[in-house]
Amino acid sequence: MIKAGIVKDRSGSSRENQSQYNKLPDPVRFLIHFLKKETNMLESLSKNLEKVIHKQGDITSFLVYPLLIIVVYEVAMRYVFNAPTTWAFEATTFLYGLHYMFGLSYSDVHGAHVKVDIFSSLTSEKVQAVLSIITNLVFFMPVTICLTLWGIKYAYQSTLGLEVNSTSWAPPIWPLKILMALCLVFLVLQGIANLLKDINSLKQQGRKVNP
Amino acid sequence: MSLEFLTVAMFVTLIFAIMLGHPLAYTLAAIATLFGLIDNGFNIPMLFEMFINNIWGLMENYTLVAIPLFILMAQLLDRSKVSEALFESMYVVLGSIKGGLGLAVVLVCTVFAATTGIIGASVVAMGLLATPALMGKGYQKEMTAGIICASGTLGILIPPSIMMVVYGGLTGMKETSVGNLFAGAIFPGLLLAGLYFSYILIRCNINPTLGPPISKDEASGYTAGQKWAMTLKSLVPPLALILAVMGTILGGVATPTEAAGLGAFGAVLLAFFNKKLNWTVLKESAYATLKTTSMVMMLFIGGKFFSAVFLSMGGGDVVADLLIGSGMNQWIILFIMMFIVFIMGMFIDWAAILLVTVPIFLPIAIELGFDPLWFSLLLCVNLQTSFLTPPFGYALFYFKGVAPSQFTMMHIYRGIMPFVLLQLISIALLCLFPSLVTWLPGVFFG
Repeated sequence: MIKAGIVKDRSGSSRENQSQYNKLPDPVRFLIHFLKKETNMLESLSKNLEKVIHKQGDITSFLVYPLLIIVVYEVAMRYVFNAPTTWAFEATTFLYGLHYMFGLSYSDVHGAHVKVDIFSSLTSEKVQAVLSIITNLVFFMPVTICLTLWGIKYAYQSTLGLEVNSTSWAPPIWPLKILMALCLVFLVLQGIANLLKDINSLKQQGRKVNP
Repeated sequence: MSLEFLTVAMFVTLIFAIMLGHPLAYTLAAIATLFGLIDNGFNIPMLFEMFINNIWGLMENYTLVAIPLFILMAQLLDRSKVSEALFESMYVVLGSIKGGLGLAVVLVCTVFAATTGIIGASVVAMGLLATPALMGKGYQKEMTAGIICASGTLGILIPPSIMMVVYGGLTGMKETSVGNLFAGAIFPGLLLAGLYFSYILIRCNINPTLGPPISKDEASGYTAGQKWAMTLKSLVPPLALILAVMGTILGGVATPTEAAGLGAFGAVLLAFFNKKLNWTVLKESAYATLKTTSMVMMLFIGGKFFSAVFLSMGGGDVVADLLIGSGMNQWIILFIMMFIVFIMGMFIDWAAILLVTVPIFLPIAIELGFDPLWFSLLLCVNLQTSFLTPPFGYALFYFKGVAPSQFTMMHIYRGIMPFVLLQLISIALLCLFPSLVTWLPGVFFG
């Protein structure tokens, strides 16, 4: 279906455009050709990335139920049976931490992160896409990529020492730090998916205006 | 670059960057990174090690565990149709007075607010449920929009409330613990609900075309006994939940986090007894909970970065020197801080405002000799306006999303104005009578 779109696009372009295209220097022609072909790849890549994010969030969203069960269990043990556990306090914070960390990319793929778009929504779709690409590259990417790198370093150091929490239960926390880094990787992937989507929509609009 | 210049530049850059429409949380983190690097001489490893430690610290913050639990509770309650039953009975009981349906909305929202801590669900639920009823009886559009948006936002003030969990988790002070904030917010919340109630009653009695009563036939279809039975039956489930959550916190039996767990557990039971508990409900509640929780937590991460950088470069002292050093009267300084929060509320949402301003303003308020708990509640009431003030008020957009198409944004903006005014009046009342806030926490927590 997507192939047909390209064929139509090419045949639809006028002779004048074709001759203009031929006059362009080789590297530019190659780039245009490359981008046209890559559009499909970019689109499917961003869709697949988003699919992964959707899936991981759908699964990890259920962490809230074990969290609930442990909190209620602890309350029951302490106040009803007068036998508080040593582990429930930490276990709840671990579950809560993982729950929202996995959700960071999930909220993004659902567009749930709040933004002030009253001004940008007044501009054309093309401007919006450009703005979105720029803010993504300037605000989002540098920070999240660095965070991910240092998150991996943080997890690596913890894993080398097989770090445990300094409490009486002393649970290992290095797996948690690995998962934290993984969640940050998901967030970067979601940012890449957003970027690809914006580039794609920009190109499609470019095609609409100047086929 | 001088410190004063950096402080101003950081805020100006933030304002400009926010307007570009990128998600607020990422923008906060990006501005924090830029100025953190300028401040520490572009030492990238040092800054990001601090950020990662901040993220890890948040993951271990026990107070904030209440956030996903309260959100789950709201999601489950929303799906078990508790507010629908309550609205139906209030419709019959109050419908025959002028403006009665509006009063019913305020009452239902107040009760619902005492069981949940977020606003999205109540505005959407009431928008879907009450708008057709009010429009069908010929309520003015502006009035309808105002009533539903304003009452729906009570959820974030009347405890339990996510706003206070975030506040308590952010400050980590004993005076502003979540339990204290909850106890302190009870009277301000009821005061605001009372102001809405009186306003609708008075306004509709002066001009009944704004909110006419339901017809006599419809009203006389039920006997007094039936009305009582309906009311009691619909009030029991929410009251039981309020007792489970607020009762255990105020009684000192459970921490707010545990109470949130009990509340969510109660909501599961309630859904079970209402025969609404099935796989779809559990699944959708989990999805919605994760989305909302992570939205708040991402803001928390971005806001934490921002305030950590701002405070470590000494920006907090600059603002404090500017305000306290000016030699102005303490009440004028308080007014300036409140005014800044109010203006910010027109553009960004409560969580971002709270996370950016509290670390700067709370120490100033304490230094000026204001009670930290009282100041915090003043700020929380003020933040209510951020849901309602144009151009960017969350509740307004939620309402627009579910209201019939004859509602334009202008109807909603006009309708909400009197209620914003009432919120400002309630701030003034809290200033005149500080014991409205401080008395109840003193009773429960000494």
